[in-house]
Amino acid sequence: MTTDDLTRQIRDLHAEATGALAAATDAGAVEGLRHDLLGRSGRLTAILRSLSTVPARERPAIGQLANGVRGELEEAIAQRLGELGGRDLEARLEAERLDMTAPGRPVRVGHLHPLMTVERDFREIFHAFGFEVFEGPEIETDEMNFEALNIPPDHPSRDLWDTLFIAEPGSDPPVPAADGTILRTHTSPVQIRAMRALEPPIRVIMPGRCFRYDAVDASHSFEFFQVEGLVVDETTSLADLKGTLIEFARALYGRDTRTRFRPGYYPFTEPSVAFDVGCLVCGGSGCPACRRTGWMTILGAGMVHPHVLRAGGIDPDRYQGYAFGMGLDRITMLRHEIPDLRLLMAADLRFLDQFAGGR
Amino acid sequence: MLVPLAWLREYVDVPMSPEELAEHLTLRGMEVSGIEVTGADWTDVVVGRVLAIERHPNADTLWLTRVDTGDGEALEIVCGAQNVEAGQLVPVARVGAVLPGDRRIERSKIRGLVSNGMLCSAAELGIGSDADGIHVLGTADEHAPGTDLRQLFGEVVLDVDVKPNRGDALSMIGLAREIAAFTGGTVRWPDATVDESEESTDGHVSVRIEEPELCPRFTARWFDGVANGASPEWMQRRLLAAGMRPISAVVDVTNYVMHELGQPQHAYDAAGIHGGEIVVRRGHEGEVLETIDHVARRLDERMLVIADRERAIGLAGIMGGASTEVGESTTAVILESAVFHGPTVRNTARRLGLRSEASMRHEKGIGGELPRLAADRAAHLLQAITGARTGRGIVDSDPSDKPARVVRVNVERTERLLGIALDARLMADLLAPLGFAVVDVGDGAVDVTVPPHRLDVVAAEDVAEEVARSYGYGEIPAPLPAPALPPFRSDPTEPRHAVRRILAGLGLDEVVSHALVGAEDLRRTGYDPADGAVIRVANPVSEAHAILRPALYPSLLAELAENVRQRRTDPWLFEVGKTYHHQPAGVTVPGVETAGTGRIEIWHVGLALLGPRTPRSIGAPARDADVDDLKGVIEALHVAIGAPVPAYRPESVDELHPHLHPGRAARLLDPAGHPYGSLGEVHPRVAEAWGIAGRPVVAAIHLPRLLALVARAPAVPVPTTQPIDRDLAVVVDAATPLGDLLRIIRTSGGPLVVEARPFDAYRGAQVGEGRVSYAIALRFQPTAASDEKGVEKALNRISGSLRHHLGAEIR
Repeated sequence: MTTDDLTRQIRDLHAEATGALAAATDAGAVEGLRHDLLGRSGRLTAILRSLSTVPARERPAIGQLANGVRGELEEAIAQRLGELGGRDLEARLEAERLDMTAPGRPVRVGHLHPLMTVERDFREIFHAFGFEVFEGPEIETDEMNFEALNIPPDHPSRDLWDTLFIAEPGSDPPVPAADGTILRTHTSPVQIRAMRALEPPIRVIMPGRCFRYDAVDASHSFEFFQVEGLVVDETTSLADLKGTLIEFARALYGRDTRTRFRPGYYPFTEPSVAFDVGCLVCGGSGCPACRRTGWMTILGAGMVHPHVLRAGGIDPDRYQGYAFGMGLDRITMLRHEIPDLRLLMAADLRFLDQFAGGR
Repeated sequence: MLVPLAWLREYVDVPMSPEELAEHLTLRGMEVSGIEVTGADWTDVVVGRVLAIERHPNADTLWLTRVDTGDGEALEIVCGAQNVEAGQLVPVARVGAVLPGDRRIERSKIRGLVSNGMLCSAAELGIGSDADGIHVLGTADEHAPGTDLRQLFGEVVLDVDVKPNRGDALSMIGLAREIAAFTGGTVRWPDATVDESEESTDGHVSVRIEEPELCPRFTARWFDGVANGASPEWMQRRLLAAGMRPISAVVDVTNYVMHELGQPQHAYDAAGIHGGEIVVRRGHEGEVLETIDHVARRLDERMLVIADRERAIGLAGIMGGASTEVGESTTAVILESAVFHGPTVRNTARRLGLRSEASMRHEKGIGGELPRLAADRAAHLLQAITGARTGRGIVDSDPSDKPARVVRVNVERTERLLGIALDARLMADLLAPLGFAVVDVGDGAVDVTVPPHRLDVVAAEDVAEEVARSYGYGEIPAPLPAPALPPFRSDPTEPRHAVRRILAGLGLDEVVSHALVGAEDLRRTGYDPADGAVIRVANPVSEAHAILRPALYPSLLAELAENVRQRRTDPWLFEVGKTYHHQPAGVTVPGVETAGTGRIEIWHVGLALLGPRTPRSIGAPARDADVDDLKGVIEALHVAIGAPVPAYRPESVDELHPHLHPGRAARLLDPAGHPYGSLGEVHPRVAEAWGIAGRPVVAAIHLPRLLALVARAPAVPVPTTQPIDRDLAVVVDAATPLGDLLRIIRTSGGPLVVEARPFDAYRGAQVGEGRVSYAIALRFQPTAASDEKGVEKALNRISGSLRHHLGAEIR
C-alpha cells in the first residue's frame, strides 16, 4: 500500500467515525464504534499495524497522523459518551418527578401540658434569681399546714382554706383521721420543711399540687397547683420582695407590665402583701375579668412571720425574709386566655393539642 | 362587708368619688371588690302625684287612680292598696319599668280596666319590708312629679373585703377611722347619750359568768316601756343596703349598732328570763335549745351558751333562743353587749352551720370599750325609736380600765425589715393618724402605744406593717433581685421535666388529671375500692373524687375514655403524677415523699396508647398501637434519659394487674432483676367497662426507681476496628420466650456482642410443628483487629449455649 493510500484511508476513517459518532444515539452504539475502530481488531488498530509496510523514511509522518487521529477519536468518543450519559440521567430525573405539593408523611408530635410549661418558665425565671427548687408532700399534718404557719385551730383565718381531711382507715362512713392528717391546702407548709432542711441563706421555690374543699366552677377546683417562694437571710427586706416580684412579673408577662404592690393579709406573713398586674385582658381600662378595677391579683406575699421562722427552726432575731405564693392554674389561665379552669384537668386533646412546647 | 356610702359619710367626710375611695381603701389593705348602686336595677320608676282616685267599678277592693308623672298627661293606674289618697306623692313604675327580681311592668287589664303601670310598695322596690301599702313619698311638694326614683333612693354600696385580722374595721366607724387616717379628716362618733330612768337595772338583771375565759366581758342594760313596732324607714333602708333584713324596731337597732360600731348585740324579752338572772356557761351534753329560727339545737360541752337559772336561752355570739325572742308584745328588754371567745364561737357556729354577721365579728375579736359604748348607743336609739325607758346603771362583768398595750420596736430592725429609711420622728408621724402614739425611749427603740381597737397589733412586725401601710406600699423602693447565689442549684423537678420533654418528643401528649378519683373509677379498672390500702378523704367534694389514686391506671383509662368520647381515634398519652399509699409497717421506700403520717406518695409516669402512631397516608397504612409499640416508647425513654433498657417478665397469675390481659402483661425489670413498673394490653372487659373500643395498651413506671437507674458512665472511645455483622437463624420451641433467647445470646457471647436484634420470625412446615425460627441480627465489636478470631469463638459459644439451654437448632 502506498503512503498516499494509507493517508487517505486514515482520513476517510476519521471522517466516517466522526459522522458515526455524531449519529450514535446511545452509549451502546458509541461503545460498539470504539470496539470497531480502536479495539484489538479495530480498523484504526489494523492501520497502525500495517505501518510496518510503509517505507521507513515515510513512517514517522504517517505514524504521527494515525496516532493523532486515534487520540482525537478517543477524545471524541469520551465526549460523546459524556453527552449521551448526561442525557440518560436527565431522562431518569425527568421520569422521577414527584408531586411536590403533596403533604408530608405524618410524624407524631407530642404536646406538653400548659401547666407544666408555665411551671418550667417559673423555674427558669427564679433559677436566674438564684432560687433552688424544694418539694414537700401533699398529704400533710394539720401542724405543718396550719399551726406551724401561725394559724391556730379555730382561728378565723382558717376560713381562707377549706380543708379536705384524710379519712380514718376503716371508718365507714368516713371520719377525719384521728392523727389530723389532711391534704395540704397550700404549698406554704413546704416553707417549714425547707427551713428545717436548709441553712440560711435560703432561696427556694416550691411548686406542687394542693387541695381544698371547694366546689368546681370556671375558676375553682378542689385540686389546683401553687408555686411558693421563700427567701431567708439576714437582710432581705419588703423592698427586696417588691423588686423581685416586679422583675418576675416582667419576665413572665413582658417588660412593660404594670404592677401594684399593696397590703394583704396572711397569718404567716407580717407585713403581708397582695401583688397585682395590670389586667391582661383589657390592659387596665376595666373589664369584667378584672371586675372593672384594671388590675388582677396574681399572688400573695409578705415578710415571714417570726412565729413561722421559729417553727422552721430559724432564729427570728437574726434572720428575716419573705415568702410568696401564687396559683399556677390562674397564671396559666391568664397567660393563655383560658376561660375555664376545668379545661386544664379534662384530658381533652382537642384542648391540649393547641399548646406548643415552646413559649 | 356591704358599706352604704351615704351611711358611712355620717361618720367621716369622704372628699372623693366612690371609685377613688375604693382605690384608696384597696391600696391600704381594705380591698374593695365591687361598687354597686342599689336601685340601679329600677328602670323607669318615677315620682308621681295622685290627682284623683275612684272605686274600681268592678271590684270593691281596687281603686282607679289618675296619676301625674310629670309629662303633662295623667296615667290611669289600677291600685289595690288601701292607703292611697289624692294629693299623695307616690312611686310609679311606668309601663316598661323593671323592678327588683326582674319584674317587668306591662300595660294590663285588671277587671276590665286598663292599668298603665303600677304604684309601688316599699317591698316591691326593695327599700323596706312594708308590702301592704303604697310607699308614700310625701303629700306636699317634697319631690317634683317625674323625678327618677333613683335620685331619692339610689344608694352607692361598696363591697369591702375586710381581712380576718381587722375585726375592728368591720363597721362604719372602723372604716371611717381608716378613711380619716389618710384624708386627715375627723371621725364623728354617733350620739350615745342615755337618759336613764329611776328604775335600777340591778333590780331586774344579774349576770353570772361561769366561764370567764370564754366570756371576758358581758354588759347588760334593761329597758321597759318598749313599743316594738317597725323601725323607721331610714334605718330599714340602711340595713337593707348593708344586706340585713329589717325585723322589728328592737332587733333592727341591735343590727344597726352592730354595723355602725362593730359590736354584735342581742335583745332578750325580759319576760322570758327566769329571775332576771343571766348565766354564761358551757352547754350540757344532751341539752336542747330551740333557736329563733325554730330549729331544735342539741348542745354540748364545747359550746358556750347564755342561760337563765333554768335553761339555755341563747348560743353565745351566734343566735338567741325562741323562748326569749322579742316580738310585738314585748315591753321589757334585756340588751346583751358582750365579748365572747372567738375560737369557741367559730367552732360552734361552724358545727351548727349558723355563721352570721354577729358570729363573724366575735370570731375576729371585739376590742376596747366597744361593749359599753354600743350598749349606750343602742339605748339612745331604743329610747328615740321605741319610746323605751332605760334602767339606771349597767351590769358590766368587767368595768375596770384596761391598760393600753405598748409594743417596743427597734427602729433599725424596722428599717431592715421594710427596706426604707426611718427614724423615731418619722415613725411617730406615720403612725399618729392611725391612733398609735410613739415615744422615743433611746437606744434606737420606740415604745408604740396601740389604740384599744387594734387587737391585731401585738408585736414589732405588726407595727412595721402599719408603718408600711401609712408610708404607702407603692412608695416602697423596688431594688433589683439580689445577685444570684453560687450557680449550683438543686432542682428535684428537673428529671421529671426531662421525662416529660422526652415523651412529648416521642409523640405523646401530656395530660394532668385529678389525684382524687372515685370508687367507680377503681371498680371499672378492676380494683377494689373497699381495699384497706386505699386512702380516702373524709369529706369529699363529690363521690367521684373521694379516693387518692392508688395507681395511675384509673386516670389513664379515664383519659383514654374521654378522648374516645370526643371521637379521637389515636390518643397517645402520658401523665407524670403521684400515687398514694399507706406505708407498709417497718418498710422504708426510697425516693418517696411523706409527711411522716404513715402515708406515702410516689411519682409515677403513666403511658396509654390507643390507635395508630400516625394516621394512614399514601404508601403508609395506619397500624394500631400494640404492646411492642408501647415497649418501643418505654425503651426510647430509657435510652434518652440514660438508663439501661429494661427486661420484661410476664406477670404471673398471683401478681397480675386486674386491668391487664392475662397473656399480655409484664413487669419491667432493672438490670438487678427488680421490678419497677408494669405494662400490657388492657383487659377487654376493662376496656369495655370504660367504653373504650379497640385495644389500648398502658404502662406505669415507678419514677424514683427509673431515675435511680440513670448513671453517669465514662465515655467510650470510638473503636479502631470495624464491627462484624452476622445473621443467625435459630429454631426453637414456639413457647420459648424470646427474652430468654436474647439473654442467652448476650451472656454467652460476652462483651463482644453489642447488638442482638430479632428481625424475623417464621412458623411453618419447614421448621416443624410447634417450632419457630427466629432470624437475629448480631453485631460484634472486636476491640482489636486480632479479635476477629474471638468473634468466631463467641459465635460458637452462642450456638452451643442455645443448643444446650433451649434445644435450639442453629441454621
